[in-house]
Order: sequence, then C-alpha cells, then structure tokens
Amino acid sequence: MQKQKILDRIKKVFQTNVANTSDLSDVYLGIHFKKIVSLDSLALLRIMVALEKEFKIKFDLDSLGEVFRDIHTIETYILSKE
Amino acid sequence: MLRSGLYKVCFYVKDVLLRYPGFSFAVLIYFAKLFCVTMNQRQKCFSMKMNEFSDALCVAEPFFSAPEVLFIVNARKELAPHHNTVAYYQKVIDFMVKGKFHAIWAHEKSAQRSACRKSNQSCGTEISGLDKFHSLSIQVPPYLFRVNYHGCEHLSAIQDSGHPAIFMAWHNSAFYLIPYALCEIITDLQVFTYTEFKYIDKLSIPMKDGAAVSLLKMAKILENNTPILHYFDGPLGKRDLRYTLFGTDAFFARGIMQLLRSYSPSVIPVTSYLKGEADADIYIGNDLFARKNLETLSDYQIFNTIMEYFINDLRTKDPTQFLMYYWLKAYTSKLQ
Repeated sequence: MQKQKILDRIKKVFQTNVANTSDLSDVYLGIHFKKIVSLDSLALLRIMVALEKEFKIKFDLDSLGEVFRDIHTIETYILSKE
Repeated sequence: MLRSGLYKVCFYVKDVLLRYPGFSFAVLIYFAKLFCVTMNQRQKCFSMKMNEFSDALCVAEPFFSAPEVLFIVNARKELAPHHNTVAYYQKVIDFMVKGKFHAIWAHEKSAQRSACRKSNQSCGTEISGLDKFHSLSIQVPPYLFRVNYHGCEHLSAIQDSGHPAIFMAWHNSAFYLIPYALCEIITDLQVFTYTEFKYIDKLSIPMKDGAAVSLLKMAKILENNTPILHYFDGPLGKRDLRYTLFGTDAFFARGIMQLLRSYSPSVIPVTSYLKGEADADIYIGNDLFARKNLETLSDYQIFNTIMEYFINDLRTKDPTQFLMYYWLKAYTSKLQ
C-alpha cells in the first residue's frame, strides 16, 4: 500500500517536470532514462531537486548513477530511505 | 502610359547624344572609368582576401586542411586584427606543434613520469597559505612544466564567502595543466573530465557514462560546498546552445547553465597559457557573476558572459594560443 503511494508521488513529480508528456508512459514502464529522449540532464536535475523536496531526503553522491536509471530504482531507493 | 513616357525619355537622350557627340563621348569615358575603378577595387579586395588565406595556407598547409586554415584566418580577424598576418600564422602553427609536443599524456610517457617521481620533483607538501601562491612555481610531473599562478587572491575571497564555487575552464592552450595546478592549491577540488584521470593523488570524476548523471553529481558536490572544476566546452550534453565562434557555428550544452541557475555558485574562470619552453601561466579570474542574481538570467545571458570573458582573455593574454582541434572538429557538429 505504502509502496503504491510512493510510486504515485514519484509519478506526480515526473508529470510536473517532464516536458514531453508522451514520454511519461515509457517512464512508468520502467524504461532506462537514457533511452527516453526528453529525459535529458536538465529534466533529471529538476526531478532530483523535486524528489528531494517531496520526500525530504538527500540522494547520496555515490549512488546517483545506480538510482537514476529508471523509475523503479528511484522507488527502491526512496523506500529504503523512508 | 508608363511605357510611352519611357520611350519619350529614351528618344530625348538619343537626340541629345547625337546632337552633342563630344558630350556623349565624355559620358561614355566617365562610365568606362567608373566601371574600371569598381572592378579594380573589387579585384584588390578579392586578391587581399585571397592573399591572407593563401599566406595562412602556405604556413599551415603541412599541418592543417583548408577549412581548418579558414578557421584560423577567422580567429585572427577576431582575436588579433592588427597583427602581422604571416607572423601570427607562424606563431599559431608554432604553438600548435609545440603544444602537441608538450601534451605528454600520462599513458604516453609513463617512463618520463616515473623518472619524475623518482627524482621527487612533485611539490605541494609545504603549502600553508594561499597568499604564498601568488607567484610561486610548481612542477607538474607528467608534463615537466613549471606553473606560475596569477590571481590567487580571488581564492581567498571565495573561501571567505562560504559559497560553493565552480572553476570554469575551456580547451585552449595548456588546458591540460589546469587540474594539476588547481589540485595543488585547492585540496578538496573535484575535477570532472570525460575519462578518468589521476591529478597528483586524486582521481577525476569521469563523465563518459552520461551527461545527465554527471550533472546530478555536480549538483550534489556543490550542495556539499565542495568546489568543482569543469570544462564548459566539453563533448557531453544536449548541445543546442548555438554560439558563433570565429565565424563557425559551435554548439554547447545547457546543463551547466541550469546548474548555475539552481545553485548560484561563484563562477571562477581559469585560463592557462604556455610561456617559453617549459613554463605556463595559470590565470584565476574573479567571480563572473558577482552580485548578480543568476536565477533571473537566461541560458544565453549566462553563456555570453562566460564566453566574453574567455575570448577577451585569449585576446589580451595571447591570441595565438587557441586550440582549434576541439572547437572546430567537435563543436561544429551536434554530438548528442
């Protein structure tokens, strides 16, 4: 239940920060961010800042490469921090 | 109506010309002269342009292709318009050839590097204060260079301000010496490079795995108030920020502009120039956006401020020391 809630909140953050909404379905499917055109460095930076604000957490520097792979890796990381 | 009027004017002119042959001859001579003068001037301009290009081509042909020579010609016009052209091109070629000769990358001259280590030429252990660096020389082991620092007083100001700092550099002249030189005096500096390099005793953070994650890492490091060194004209990023560099359209990444806007760090420009055979100068500039609210500036405003500083620096310090390999070959095409 809590897992679903967290995923919904993550999706909401993506919704507000991804310019091309047609790419959102790919994000929700768990496709690697590198393969999604509109998820460039600018978008990811906005998303990281928004996620930190939403969940009141700080992402670790060393784990950034692994966490910002797809939506599920982000979800797992946030769950581990909650 | 109009046609008949035109016919009337033509007949009138013809009448006048036939009636006064001397006058018509003079008019003919005048127009012929005007035509000759115009053609002569055009020819002169054309041959002047061709001369400059052919001069440059003669000097540079063994090393560079014609489009590359054209880039150098355009660079001269912008950076050193009053320079003697042949002398300028000769200097550029000397620098590029010398620059290539001196760019002894770590993996190419490991024997030379180990010889340096054995003779204990690396220094940096007896450093106590930044003020001492004002004109101190250090030896950068992999390149066998002495580096002279200029503008270290700006570093003290940054340390006092308590703001995060980004040291900005670009790929000109002795750009490869900057990380070594800065790591010597800023011990917690994090260097972002395309592939992993070892600077003194510190590994750089490689960016080859993706611009996006690298940008996130930069953001995190700035959050921790740790200074970073970044080459703003690197090969990564979504490259759609157009800038006309010496008559050639070059494209740059916007990511770093977004980072500057989000975290408002001090932006410290760092440039380097070779001097003589084994000396190099490192110039540390003042904060480029001091007292400016970065959040209100557009990508182009931020980028133009940065570029203006670097081009002016090149123009005043040594307009012959630019490296066009990166700018011409990598930047004229969008990589990502």
